[in-house]
Amino acid sequence: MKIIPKKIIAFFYISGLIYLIGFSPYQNISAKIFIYLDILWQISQSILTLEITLGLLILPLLFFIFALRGNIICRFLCPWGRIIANIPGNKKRHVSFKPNGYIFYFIIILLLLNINILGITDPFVFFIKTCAFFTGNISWIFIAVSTTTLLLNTYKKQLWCINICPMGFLLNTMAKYASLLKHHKTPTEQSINISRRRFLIAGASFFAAISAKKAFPFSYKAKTSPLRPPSVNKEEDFMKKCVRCGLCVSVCPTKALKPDIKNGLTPVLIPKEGYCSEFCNACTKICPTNAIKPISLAKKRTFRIGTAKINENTCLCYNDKKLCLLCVESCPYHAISTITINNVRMPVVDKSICIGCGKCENKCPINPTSAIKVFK
Amino acid sequence: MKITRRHFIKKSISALSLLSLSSLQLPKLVKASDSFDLLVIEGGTPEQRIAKMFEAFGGAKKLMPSNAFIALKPNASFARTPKQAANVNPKTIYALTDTIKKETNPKEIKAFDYTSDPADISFDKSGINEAIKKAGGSIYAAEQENQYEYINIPKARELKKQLVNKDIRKSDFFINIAIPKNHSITELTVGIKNLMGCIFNRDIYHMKGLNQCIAELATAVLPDLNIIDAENILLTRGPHGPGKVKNTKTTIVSKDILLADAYAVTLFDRNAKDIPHLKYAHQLGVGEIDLTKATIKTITI
Repeated sequence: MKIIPKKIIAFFYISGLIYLIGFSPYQNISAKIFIYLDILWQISQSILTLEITLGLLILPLLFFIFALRGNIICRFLCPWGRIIANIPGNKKRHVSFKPNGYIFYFIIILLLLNINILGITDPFVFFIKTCAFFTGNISWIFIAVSTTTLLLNTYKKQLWCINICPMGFLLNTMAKYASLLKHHKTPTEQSINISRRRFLIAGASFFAAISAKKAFPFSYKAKTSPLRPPSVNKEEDFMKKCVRCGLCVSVCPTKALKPDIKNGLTPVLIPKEGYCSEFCNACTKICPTNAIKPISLAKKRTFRIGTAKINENTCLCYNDKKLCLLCVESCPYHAISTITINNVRMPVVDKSICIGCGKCENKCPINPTSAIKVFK
Repeated sequence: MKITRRHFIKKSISALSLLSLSSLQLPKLVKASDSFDLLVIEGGTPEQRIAKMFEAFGGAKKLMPSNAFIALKPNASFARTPKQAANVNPKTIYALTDTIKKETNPKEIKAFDYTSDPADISFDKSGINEAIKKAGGSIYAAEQENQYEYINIPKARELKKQLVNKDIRKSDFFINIAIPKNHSITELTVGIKNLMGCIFNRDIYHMKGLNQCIAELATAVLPDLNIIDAENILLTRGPHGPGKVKNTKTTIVSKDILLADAYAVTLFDRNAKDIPHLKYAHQLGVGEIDLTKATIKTITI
């Protein structure tokens, strides 16, 4: 019996989630709970950190639920799937190309190599990106990524969910095995579509990846070390945990954080765009994966993001003997003092105080490259 | 003495021409009618001092037009508490706005500032947002270019054209409310430096020489009244602090911005002629810098 149409339920479900993650006062906790339900993320975290996380308990739980009710995540709970289900597309077109399994294994292999590409493959992360769009600052790269996965579905109805989604592959496979529990059937060719060859290929690629990792101990190292949001200690840990959801970018009040293409869409502090405000720790609070760990305002004020350095060739005080000193005036931590040489006052950075908030670089009148710049 | 017709005509013409000449100088005559150039009020609370100020001018109605648009430029530029003395004391703002609202029935009281720290945090933490709203006024952060208009500064050497807040020209009465502070670039900041919150492109000031540029700005942006709120003054680590604060309990009021600044500087035991931007402002004829030449009225509570 259908009392309320499915579409209306879906509408309220999606808008409720967008409200919770996008605007509500419970934004921080909602985002954390939401990412916790992301099974692909849970698996990625345990592979990257080589620890069995508590969140993995959701796997047997889901298996049990799937045995009773089937794949409820793909059918009801996945918000991205709900949005896609309402996108009109060609229902009759048959697309035989179905790379979802390969994408899933590809992700796993890359994870073993410490490379995290969930930001462009995980539907839950796409949804958080969409919520971030409603939160505040808009980053066009994220919108491009999300809308591409939506527009795919106009070619064929639910193309993403059925043919591409790696998470859908994982859940559907689980559901197939779970249904065996219920019906006490032996696996047949129809119910499970894993042939011996496919299984062997997958297994072999797994072992190849692991041995490759052992042979060449590869871990992500940024060539140019970018400025990270406060409370990020180790670049490698950060790259492992960050899912490129874009929430930190969207909440940053000074628009200092930007998704950087060179660093795989991870957030980078760009002082010329904005500075890390003395009174804000919004990004540390909202990060759903704790890639940016929660940090108190008092601690944040002493946390070193980088250190400012003056380029004496372009600085107005050093070069033109002008009384500029805008960096001295703007520094919230009094890290820049002045020395007087030949009656001209010149700025000097005290490296023991400077935390690299980037306000000096932001306010410096020299364009396009400031005369004072923050380095890691 | 016999008055001939010729004599009468001669005398009357000369009298008329004298009158017309003096009428050109009318604003200065009004200034003289206050019977003081500079008002210094010491002791008491900020509210009491503002009340004394209006009393000395013979009430708010005499000081400013009724049913008018009043623009305020308080220093609310930093996210600091009132005790840290980086912004004007909110009590002063409240007392001022409240009195104007009650006595002159203004159309609108609007305050603005182009803040250095994020505007909403600055307005809230300084208590100025709350104070001005309680008294029936409003405050906004002037951060968009469309809130500004070009004015000419004929006396300027460096910047002859400047983007200045539109509300200054629109307003019928413009009050500049500043706090005396130590400043890392200009040594001290009082009223003239506070006018920098009225302009849009501040980078160019630093590039062309800050002291000269703010002195030039003061020749073109003329507040109708300058109130220097020295409830607390910031002695070190200015302009944003937190640094050493001295409780001076003084309010300095003048229509001459330079004169008010010159007096405020003495709170730091400094001479106005040693502060570069005040010296330049004097050279450009902004006002009187020599306190001995001015009539100072001191009220102690």
